[in-house]
Amino acid sequence: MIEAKTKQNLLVWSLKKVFDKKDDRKHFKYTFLIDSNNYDSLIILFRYNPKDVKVDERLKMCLTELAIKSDCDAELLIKENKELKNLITLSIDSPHGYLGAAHRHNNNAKIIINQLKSSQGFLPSPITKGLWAITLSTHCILSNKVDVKIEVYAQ
Amino acid sequence: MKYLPFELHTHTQHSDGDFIVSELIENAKKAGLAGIALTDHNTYSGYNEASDEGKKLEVLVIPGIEWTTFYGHLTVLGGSASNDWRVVSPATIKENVLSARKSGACIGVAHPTRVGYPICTGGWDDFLLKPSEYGIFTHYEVWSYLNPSVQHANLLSERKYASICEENIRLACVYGRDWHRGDSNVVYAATYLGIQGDLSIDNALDAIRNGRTYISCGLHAIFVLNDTNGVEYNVGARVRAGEYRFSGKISYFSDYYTKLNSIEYMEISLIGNGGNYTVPINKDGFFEFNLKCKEKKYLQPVVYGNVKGIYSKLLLATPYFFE
Repeated sequence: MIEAKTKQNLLVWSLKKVFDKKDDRKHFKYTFLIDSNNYDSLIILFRYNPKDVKVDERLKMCLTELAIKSDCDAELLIKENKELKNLITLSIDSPHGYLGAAHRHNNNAKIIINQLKSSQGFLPSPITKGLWAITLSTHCILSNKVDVKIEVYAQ
Repeated sequence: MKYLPFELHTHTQHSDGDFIVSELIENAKKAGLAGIALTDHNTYSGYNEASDEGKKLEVLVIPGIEWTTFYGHLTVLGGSASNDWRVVSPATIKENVLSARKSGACIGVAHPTRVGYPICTGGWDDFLLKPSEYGIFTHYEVWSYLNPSVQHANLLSERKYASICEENIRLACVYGRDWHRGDSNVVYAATYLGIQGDLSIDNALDAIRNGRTYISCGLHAIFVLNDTNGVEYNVGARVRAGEYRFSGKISYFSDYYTKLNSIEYMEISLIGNGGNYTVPINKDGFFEFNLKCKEKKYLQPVVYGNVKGIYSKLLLATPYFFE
């Protein structure tokens, strides 16, 4: 569950979006303004669902094509992959450049950017005034719909 | 010149690895590695800690990143952090790679023949380059993951690597364990880098850039290619077409690894479009033979033997290229 915001946190940007198959393997860049140099941290709550995708006939076809391309056994590949995963990663750019990415399968993440220590995957950074960017990279969208929710708080 | 073992493809909790940074370095030390490259997916954030931990345990840590794109994964070693993996696509791959190299980085294709989308997006090299276009890179992960000498995917990579060599393009032959967690009792390999001078990041990258590499499951090798005047050449060297004497010595990297995986060397070959030579390695590990090679051909050192009772390739080196 996404944690409730505390009194000290100011919601500076949020997103609710539904991705579908046409959004697969694309980058979606969103910018938001930080209007002051007086914040210590950014807290980004990032959630998407569903994570797991049952392999249906359509995905079996997809795995069969993959097996042919990879010169491996299609039946075995299908047997070993009863479920596949949607994967969306989130990367962050401060006004001064790229800070990093959360490239992992967690679909309910809390990311903190702070000048002393940021969450793993991101460089420490002061929360400087200016235009920040969040990029969602849809490495794999296999479901008909994937619900995405992001909230960015300044603290 | 010393050939020292490295692992050039590693992950921590800064991306999708299970290792905390210190665990990765401790495991590298236990495995007897001289160094690693930290190549977390699309981030450099673990490097400072890894470098500090590496200094404590005398494990050299090369800064790196794995550009984990939709079209393929690339290990970028050294250089500046200014290049953006999100803009890398088949349409831009050449300019992106050359830009990274201009910043001082070595950049190569990771696990080019791993099953890709929708299981592992970018696991397969889908940049759609012709073999003749791979000269933009510095290295190629010919072997990947565990049990590398018997993995079918690696046989496909070996063939692709051969097709690149046939274009007279020299890419350093490297291994990537794609090390995410502390699995034990597994067969893995290492990339040996021919380090000239002190053990340093610059000298490690220089070895990759110049093809002074071999990949091996538990074997250490000394390869000596001499021309008729006695001049000696390293693996990966570009030499004149003609007659040479090839000699050297194979030894086991560690008693522990050798016993655990029942490693046994048997023969050495030089194979490629320049010929096919095979001789036995004697019980003390020595071998030597004469060869002759025409221009625009290559010959790759390959050591064969047993690993866990299966006869397979145990070592591949960057080829010699004859000009």
